[in-house]
Amino acid sequence: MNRNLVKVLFYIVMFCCLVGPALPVMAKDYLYVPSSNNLHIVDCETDTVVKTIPFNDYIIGAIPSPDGKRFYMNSWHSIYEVDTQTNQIVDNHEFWSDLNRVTIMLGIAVSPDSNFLYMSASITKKKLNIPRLNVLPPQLVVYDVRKKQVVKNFEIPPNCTTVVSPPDDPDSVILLAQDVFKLNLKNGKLTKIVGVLNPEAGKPGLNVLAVWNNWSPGKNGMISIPSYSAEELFYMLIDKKGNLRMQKAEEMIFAYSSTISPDSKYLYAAMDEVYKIELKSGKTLAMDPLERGTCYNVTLTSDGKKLYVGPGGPDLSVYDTATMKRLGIIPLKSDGMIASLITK
Amino acid sequence: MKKKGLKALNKRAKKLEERDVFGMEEVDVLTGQPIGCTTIFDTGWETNPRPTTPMGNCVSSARDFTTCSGPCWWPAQTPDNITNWPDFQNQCLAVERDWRNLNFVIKR
Amino acid sequence: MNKFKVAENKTIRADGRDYIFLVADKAIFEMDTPTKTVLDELTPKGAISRQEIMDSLACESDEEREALFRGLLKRRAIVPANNGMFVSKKTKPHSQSIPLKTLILHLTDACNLNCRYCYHTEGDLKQGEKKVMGLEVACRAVDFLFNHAGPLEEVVLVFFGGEPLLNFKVIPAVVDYACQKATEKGKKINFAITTNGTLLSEEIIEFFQDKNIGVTVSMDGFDDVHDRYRRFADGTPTYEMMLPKIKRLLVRSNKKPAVARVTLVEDPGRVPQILDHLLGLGFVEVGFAPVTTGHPDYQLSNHDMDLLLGEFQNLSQKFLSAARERRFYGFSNIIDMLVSLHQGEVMNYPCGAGLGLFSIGPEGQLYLCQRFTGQDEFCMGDIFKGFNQEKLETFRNLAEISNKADCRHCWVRTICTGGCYHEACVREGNHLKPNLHYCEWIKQWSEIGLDTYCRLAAADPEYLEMLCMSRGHRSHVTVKET
Repeated sequence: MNRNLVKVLFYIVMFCCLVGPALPVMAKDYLYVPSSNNLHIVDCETDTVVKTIPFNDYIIGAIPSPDGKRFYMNSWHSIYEVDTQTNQIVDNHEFWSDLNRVTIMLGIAVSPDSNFLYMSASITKKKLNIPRLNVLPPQLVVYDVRKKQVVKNFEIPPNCTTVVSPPDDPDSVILLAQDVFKLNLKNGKLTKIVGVLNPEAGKPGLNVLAVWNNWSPGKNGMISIPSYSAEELFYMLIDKKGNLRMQKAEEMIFAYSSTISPDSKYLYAAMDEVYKIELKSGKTLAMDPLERGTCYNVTLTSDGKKLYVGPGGPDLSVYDTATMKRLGIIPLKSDGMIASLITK
Repeated sequence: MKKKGLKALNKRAKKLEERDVFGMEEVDVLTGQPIGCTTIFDTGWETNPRPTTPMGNCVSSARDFTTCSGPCWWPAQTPDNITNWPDFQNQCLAVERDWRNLNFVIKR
Repeated sequence: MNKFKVAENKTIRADGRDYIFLVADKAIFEMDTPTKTVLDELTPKGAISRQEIMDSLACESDEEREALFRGLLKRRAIVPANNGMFVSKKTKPHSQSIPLKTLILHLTDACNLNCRYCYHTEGDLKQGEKKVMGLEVACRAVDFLFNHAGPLEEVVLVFFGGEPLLNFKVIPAVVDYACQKATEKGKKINFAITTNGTLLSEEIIEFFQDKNIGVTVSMDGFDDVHDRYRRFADGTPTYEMMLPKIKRLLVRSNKKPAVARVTLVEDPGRVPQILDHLLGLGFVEVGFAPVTTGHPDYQLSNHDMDLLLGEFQNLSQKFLSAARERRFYGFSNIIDMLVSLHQGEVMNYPCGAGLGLFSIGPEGQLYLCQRFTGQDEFCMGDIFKGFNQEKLETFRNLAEISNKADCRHCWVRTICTGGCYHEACVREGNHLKPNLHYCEWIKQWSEIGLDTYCRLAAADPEYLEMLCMSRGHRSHVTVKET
């Protein structure tokens, strides 16, 4: 290249660099979609997979850190740490050794300061030469990601499938197990909030598949979990302070997961169909039968304008939330269950 | 053998009699296990629709296979991927596409 | 703790035996006395624990008690107490495509008769707009049928009208085309026609025999009954002139025996004579339908409906006596009821209209069924451009039983499912409403049906299998030929 031209280009670049910082950098939405042996990163503007990170594992749960810098995916025996700036796996925190296994069940969460991981786990210990396993009661494990060590663990009730770490309450986590509990992380005290398998007198028993725990976008983001009594549908709504309320649905629909629009007006839910529901009245505003079949997860963009339904099989169905018409399908490499929004 | 109880007369009654009940019926829909997953002995609602709860199963049942594998819901169909076959997913990454690769696993 | 309750049911006692009809499952069982005692004892208790049930079972051992309990649970005579019926919109039916089984071709609007109660002259069609279906449209309709039949092995094409024989000229070509298409697609096609019988020439009768077309003749009985309402446009009676044609038809139709359909307007006391008269002529089966009309003068009064029920009961007993001797008494109404009970299929809709059955107007429009032909409100698209999916799905959604609030707790809901859409449209003002005006009648008729069923099932269960097979259902039971 001509020297003069290089110089000119250099000055142009310098000029741009000087001007650059004055222009605001627009935060963009990305979807992180783990599936078997692959993590897909989807650009929500173009609805395309911009990167696929391969690894060899079966992923059970996944969650972004509150600061958006990390994405964690767990298999039974380890947690993969993904740096969302470089989109690379920077660490794999192993929880299995010969004599000690922390098997991570469904249910991981990240502390509000992004420094700790909370996981619902089963701990099995073994002594050398003794042919017997010591299986501890179910545990909530607190893991320091920087120091790479378990700092404490609490005995918790069985069947905990989701751990929720409220951003505005760093001292507790909410456990969705056979019933819903609040666990005080300072003293391990458990308080039952809602009876699921063991309902309070006069209340119905519930059937809840609490697996998806993505916060809906916006500062009033909530976690919304469909819960079924034999006759009715409720949405279990958890806010950022950790308060839980049961919202009765006007209409019975079948949904695995649900999420709420940033303005808190609408609820989106999906299983074999995707629904748009007016949250206050519970009225169904729109429904589309999912052509691809059953999907597990629903994720909204931060402006609430697009809804990603899936995975279920190797795909995401993209919907325009205003019309609830499908805009397209994003194919994935393998079957998955979870998708998380990271805005960066 | 002394005949007791109910004797099926119409076709629907006969179908009910032929069912195997393994205690599943006794359990309410309240087990902390979710609605929507197929049972061990049904392939999916599309081949065995139930008139009452739990109604919805995955459509197709293939969409349930990977996600509910391991100790979750298909213990008779998929091998345990915690201890013995941790890489089982390699055999079939996307069931709808790769189901032909599914094969027996044998522990020696 | 898990609780249980006795399933919603209706008990029947007949010929010294007890039976139970499980409403939600449409399952029918014979009960022995100990079981009846247990269920009688448990029913008023509502939701009870497993232990309470066990305690009420008079058995010799715990094992026996357990087995009996499991038996009741398996047969769903006992169900979990929280097993409430979901009042949900079943999203399943419309998210799958339902295969097309039957198309009713409206060959012509024209009719050579002017029957006073005809639903087609009750303002549905404007005078002068008498359309005729051309061969092209008829053949396209055949294509449509096969293209939408999905995995079904057998389909049905029905010729209807007006009076379809006024447009007989297209029928042979359509039949040939359809048979050819059936061969190509590896499917079987059945043909049927409903006619007023006045135009049955020898040629036409031979044709029906040759092509195996099932014939239904609309005939109301012997002369004075029939001619009361069924006359030519100029007022000439029809019975006398059609009798020889009917006789010829009945003599010739042995492959697919002809059946008669009677529209009842009045005088239910004469039903047995009408039935015997028509069976005597040679019809193998006769079905009775109370007239569907918005004119109060023509509707059967409540008193008449009660009398009719009494007649139907007598005829059902006659049917049963014949059945016990392995003879066949062709009273269609009870046969339809027995087949429905024996098949035990719980339906979410009262009939196939708008699901697997549609009628085709002369210009190729699709209607819910033959009674709605020509009415825009019930037009679901056409055979050229296809179904109006949105309109059809809306209908399927709204017509489903869970939307009929009145029906939710009715013990007959799995038998009746709300009744005919057209009847509801005419009598209740809305095709989606259940036919509340004949609810009580249907309940009582269903009781008669169940009673007849149980007696027949006790006497000769194979006969029920044969009845179902004659209606085209498959049987898994080997029925011995007598």
